[in-house]
Amino acid sequence: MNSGAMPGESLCGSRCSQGGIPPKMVRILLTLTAITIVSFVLGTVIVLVTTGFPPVLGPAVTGSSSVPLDGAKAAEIVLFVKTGDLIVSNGTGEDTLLNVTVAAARPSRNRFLRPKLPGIPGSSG
Amino acid sequence: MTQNEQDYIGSLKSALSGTIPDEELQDILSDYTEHFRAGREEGRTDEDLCRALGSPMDVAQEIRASWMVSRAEKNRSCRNIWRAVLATIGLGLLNLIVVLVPFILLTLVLLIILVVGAVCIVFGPVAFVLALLQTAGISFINFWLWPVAGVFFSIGITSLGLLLVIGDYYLARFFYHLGIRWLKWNIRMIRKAEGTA
Repeated sequence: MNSGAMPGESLCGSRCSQGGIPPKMVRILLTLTAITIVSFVLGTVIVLVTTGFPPVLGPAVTGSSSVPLDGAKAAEIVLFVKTGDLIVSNGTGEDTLLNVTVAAARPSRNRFLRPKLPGIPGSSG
Repeated sequence: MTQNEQDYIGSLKSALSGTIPDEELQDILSDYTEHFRAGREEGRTDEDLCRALGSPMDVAQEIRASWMVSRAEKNRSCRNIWRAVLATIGLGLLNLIVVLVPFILLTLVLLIILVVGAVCIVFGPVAFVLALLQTAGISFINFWLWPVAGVFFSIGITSLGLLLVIGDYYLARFFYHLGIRWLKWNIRMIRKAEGTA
C-alpha cells in the first residue's frame, strides 16, 4: 500500500483533492474501460459469426410425416432439419431397408442430410 | 498504582521512549507536568490526579497509537500503517476483530487484484502476438481457437490488466485514507469509553 510519495508530498499536486483521482487519470481509466469493453464485445461477435449464432430458443416443434414407399425399388427423400434429432425409420421386420438416426447439432445451411443408404443412388456417405 | 507526579511521569517516559522521538516525547511529558501543576493549584493531590489520569501504561499505549496513526497519515507507507494498526490493536482485545481482520482482508483483496492485473498485463501481449501469428498462418502452436477474435480478446485482456493495476493503486490510496480515519475514530471511541468508565 505504499503510495510511493515522499513525506509531505501530495501525489497529484494541486489538481486534485487529497485521495482523489486526477482528471487526466480519469480520462485514461475511462479510455481503458472503453477499450476493454469494445475488445471483448468485438471478440465475442467474431466468435459468434464464425461459429454461427445459437438457435433462438422457442417452443420445441415436433411432428411426424409418413411417406409410403411400398413397392419402390429405390427412393430419395430430402430432409431439411435445423437443430434437433431426426429419426428416420421403417416399420418392422428383418429386411429393414432404412433405419437411420440423424442428429443435427447446429443449423445446417441448405445442406441435405443424406445418410448412406444401401441401394439408393445419389446418397452420400 | 503510581502515587506521585515524578513516578507517573517517569513511568510514562520509560513506556514511550524508543517509539516516539525525544523532542515530541518531551512535549508530551511537559503537557503532563503542566497538568499536575494545574491540578495542584486547584488543591488536588498527586494521588488524585494519578487516579484521574489512569494507569501510565494505558496512557502510554493511547499516546503511542495516536502518534503512530498521525505519522502514518503524514508519511504514507506500508510500514507506517502496519505499525499504526498494531499500536491500535494494543488498546483493546476487540480491536483484533474490528481493526486487524478488516485490515488483513483488505490487504489480501488489493493484493489479489494486483496479481490478476499483473498476470493480464503479461499474458495479454503474449496472447496478442500468438493471435497475430495464427491469423497470418505462421504460428507454431494453435493457441487461439479463433485467432481473429483472439486479437481482440488479447487487447481486452491487456487493457483490463492495466485498468486493474491502476485501479488497485487508487483503491489502495482510498482505503489508506479510510483506514486512517477508522483508526482515529477507534482511538477516540476508546478514550471516550475510558473517560466515562
